[in-house]
Amino acid sequence: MASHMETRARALGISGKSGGNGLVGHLSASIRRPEFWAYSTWLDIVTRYRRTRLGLAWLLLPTFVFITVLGNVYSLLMGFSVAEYLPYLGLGYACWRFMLMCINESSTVFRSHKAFIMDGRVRLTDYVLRAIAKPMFFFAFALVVVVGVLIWSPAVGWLGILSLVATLPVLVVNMVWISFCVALLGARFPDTSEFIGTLLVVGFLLTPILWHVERFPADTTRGFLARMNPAFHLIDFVRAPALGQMPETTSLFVVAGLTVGGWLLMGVLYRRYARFVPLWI
Amino acid sequence: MSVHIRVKDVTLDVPFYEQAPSGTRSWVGTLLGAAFSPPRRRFARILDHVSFDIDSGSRVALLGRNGAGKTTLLRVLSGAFQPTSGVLEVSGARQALLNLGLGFNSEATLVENIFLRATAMGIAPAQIREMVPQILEFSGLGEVAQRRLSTLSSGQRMRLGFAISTSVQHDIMLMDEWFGAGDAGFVNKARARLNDRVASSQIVVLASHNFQMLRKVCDSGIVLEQGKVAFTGEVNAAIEAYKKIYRAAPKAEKKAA
Repeated sequence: MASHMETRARALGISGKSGGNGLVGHLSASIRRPEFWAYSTWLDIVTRYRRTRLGLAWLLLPTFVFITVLGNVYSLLMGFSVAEYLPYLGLGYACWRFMLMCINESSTVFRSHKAFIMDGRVRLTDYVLRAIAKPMFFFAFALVVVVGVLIWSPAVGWLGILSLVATLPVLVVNMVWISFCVALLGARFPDTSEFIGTLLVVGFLLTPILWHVERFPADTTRGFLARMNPAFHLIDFVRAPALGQMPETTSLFVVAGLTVGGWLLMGVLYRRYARFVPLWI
Repeated sequence: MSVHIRVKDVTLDVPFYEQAPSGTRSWVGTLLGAAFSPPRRRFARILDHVSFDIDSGSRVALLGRNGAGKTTLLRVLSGAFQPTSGVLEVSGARQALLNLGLGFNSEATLVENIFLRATAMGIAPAQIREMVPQILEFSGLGEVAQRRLSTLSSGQRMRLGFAISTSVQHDIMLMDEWFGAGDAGFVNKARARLNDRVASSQIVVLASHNFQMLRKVCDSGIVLEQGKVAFTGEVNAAIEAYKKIYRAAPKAEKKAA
């Protein structure tokens, strides 16, 4: 254990000079010590289902029911074959739920860890990772169901399933910066979590998860508006290759831009505002 | 490297929210006012150009009236708050004994909770495994180790929290009040453990209003008044200085009235 540590704070911002105070230093220190955020989150999930009869099966059931029941109904409504529609809906829904949970959890994460922060544990990356770890566990379980559906469906090839190995990390990396920014925003403005709650309900129906974006070609106004939605690009980036299609070129650019720009934004915000978080909450 | 704390000209401004003043109204008016008047965001200067040095071997009593900034200063020393201006330099591993029930999961078992708390304190998993039997023995809860935490009484939970928090020795100990948790048998055990921790740590900062205990534990004192350092020096002199402040206070308030 490091027995010596030196903390220097200056009037304007923190210079990441010592390497321990900046975002990169904090993040790598947090990732090197996963006990705090991973173990406690896992314990949260496990203990939640400890009282139930079905136990951890509750992690699989909601996704399974959603995909099979809703998939069968909506494939008819939307005019697709079940073999095509179930994988489409399943992947879209799993990704959406993951994104939704990340954003929801992180909007209140600093406030809910106030006791820890007031105790002097100010490595904020720990808490954000905690907010992401929980959705990650749920996402992993949902993926078990989704991959099952992908294997079952005759419309999906093995290459498509393997593409998830490459595309899912990109989604996770994006959720890291989004969660960071939402967490900082949520610490300063308690309105954030309310606002996001509203946005996410509408977002599910507005984002092409139940329906196909082909309904709105890119050159129409509605199609343009649908493509203003970053969630669509992130989801389609994962979904399209798995279903054996290429995502739209715009999606590739948007995802690349989001990844680079988002991490830069997160670095700037963390450096500028992280030290105020204990005062805000 | 020596263990020390240097506080140089530290000022801390804290934002807070204030409701617009509303005279005494009917209860309907009060409720409507609470719902519709938006709070205003303002800043308060909690610490005002605070400077002092604490060297290795010091036992420092932190004195001051309610709201003088004692807890805030401890939070600055623990690293939770960063000063708005000024320089804080802390050398040595520090531990804040401020919150015993921190981060418990009441649905998890006692052993799981020990892991949970100890990882939050930054202890390596291998070390925690060795600590578990000691902690259970000290808290006297070995028989219920596999039960859920929620089945424990609040006193038992305090005992567990105390046993975990004090299981590791740090160079610097920050305390808000001296803990005397549990029933008579445990209080003695807790006092002995705390005495031992205090004796083997290099710096202790203890905020309290219990003069008798402060005289016994501390050798020097810092008196805070409205965010400023009013006195630093030997502990008995500090207690006298503090008494003077709170005796003088009512007079000043009377004059103002």
